[in-house]
Amino acid sequence: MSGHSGEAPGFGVQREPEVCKLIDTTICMGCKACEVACVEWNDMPFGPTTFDNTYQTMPETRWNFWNLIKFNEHQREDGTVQWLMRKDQCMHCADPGCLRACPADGAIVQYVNGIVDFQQENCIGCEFCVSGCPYDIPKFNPATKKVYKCTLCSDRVGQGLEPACIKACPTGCLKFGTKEDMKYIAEERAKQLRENFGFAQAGVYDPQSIGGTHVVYVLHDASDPERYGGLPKDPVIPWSYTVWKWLAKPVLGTLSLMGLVGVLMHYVSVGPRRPQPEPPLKEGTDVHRG
Amino acid sequence: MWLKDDGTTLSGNWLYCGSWTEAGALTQRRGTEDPSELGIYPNWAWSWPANRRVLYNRASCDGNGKPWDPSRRQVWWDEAKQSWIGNDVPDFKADSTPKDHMGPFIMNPEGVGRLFVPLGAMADGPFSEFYEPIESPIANPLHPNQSSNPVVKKYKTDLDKYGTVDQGFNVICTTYRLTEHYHYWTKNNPMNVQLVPEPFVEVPAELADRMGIRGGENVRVTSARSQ
Repeated sequence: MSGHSGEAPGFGVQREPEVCKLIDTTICMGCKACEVACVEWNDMPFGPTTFDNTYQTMPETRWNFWNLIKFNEHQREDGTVQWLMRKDQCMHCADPGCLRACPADGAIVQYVNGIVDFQQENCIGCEFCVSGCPYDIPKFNPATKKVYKCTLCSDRVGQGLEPACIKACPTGCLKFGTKEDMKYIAEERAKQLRENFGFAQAGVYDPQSIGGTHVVYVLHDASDPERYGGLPKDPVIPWSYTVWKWLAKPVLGTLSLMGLVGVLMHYVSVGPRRPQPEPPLKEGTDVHRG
Repeated sequence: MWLKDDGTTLSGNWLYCGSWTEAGALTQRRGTEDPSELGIYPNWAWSWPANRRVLYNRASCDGNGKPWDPSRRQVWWDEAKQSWIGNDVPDFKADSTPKDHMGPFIMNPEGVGRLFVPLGAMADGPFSEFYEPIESPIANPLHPNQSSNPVVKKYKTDLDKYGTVDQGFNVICTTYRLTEHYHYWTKNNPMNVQLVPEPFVEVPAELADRMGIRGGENVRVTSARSQ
């Protein structure tokens, strides 16, 4: 029992943790189990691929292939080669460029848990999100005229399950949990790589230029993420979309609202439109009645 | 540490007994201390069986249980304790005194190591030996006059032809598997085919330069038997 007259303090307060996917590139072995799991869970139609002189399934993600391991060969200064594998998919940015760019209400949504999801029924197919994304993730399907990308398995996460790719990973390279927990594990792993395994530059990729991401990487060398298949060091959303979302859209919205307000004020001050008096007949016009 | 028949221990495979104790998963330990300075690292992860780092380590001691090399003492017989002790976990019956003359290779009935395959199990003799494959383009560096195995069974049908360097078969080729396919069985599964759509050969860059082929080009792979 509590002496507090109302509900106990904190009653009804629920944690709304932000979710996060952790990808430890140092223990990815490139088996592509996550690619298959993604295609299977999301019931994607298959598309043809061609062998292009690499183990990589295809050059980049497709509208029906959201999860792609990028295989990169990096030559160190001493001539030895490092084979770097990075799982490429939507990063679920805290400040999503796609969402900024999207003009259609409800086509792109960001949930409280951080997942950025596309609602195809509201998509108008303008493809602004494609150019707004710093990671080149949203992909247009010309057949349906809609844009698609990784949902971080929001349908699974909503039921308390981990995303399909995490479930399939055999090495423990992929982990899923709260952003706080994943950041802690990632930093501990990076520390271990620096102190015990000789990767002096090991670190965590969680770019603050877009407010962090809900997919974080552990990299052998965080000083040069570009070598992992073009992972931008400081990703930026094109300024035009910042202008669109934070300047043009509010300003234009305000202007149109002011137009409405003006109409209302006119109604209040002048009153409704009244029947206009008939124009006076021209003098000298002969009118015959009856 | 040892499997018991009273239900207090559980082990899928006896080798892993003791890897998970009241202290948790010993396989996840990351202790970097190495008191003996022999590279044993007893608190780093866990090795089967019984966290033992060197199998048959009794063989590092002479008949009296004294290390052959006093500067690298793995295990030894402690007369006072009447027990085998050491920097590593002794791979031996702990209370078997050297006077019992029990051999260090405890998995063989004779208690000693085997350099040969007994009981005539191998047609080419009791001792292990290296032979080049029949079609190898080089002579066996160990004994060039007998390059390949003299007792290997050669089939003699019309299809069983063997190529030589003179005929142009001068490149060594080997096959391997992919994680994306199970042999060729999965070649009609669209999901696997999407990942690796066609067979390919990997050629070292230097050899490819010499043969004038570039990545992504089609090549024809031939042997004396087929192509």
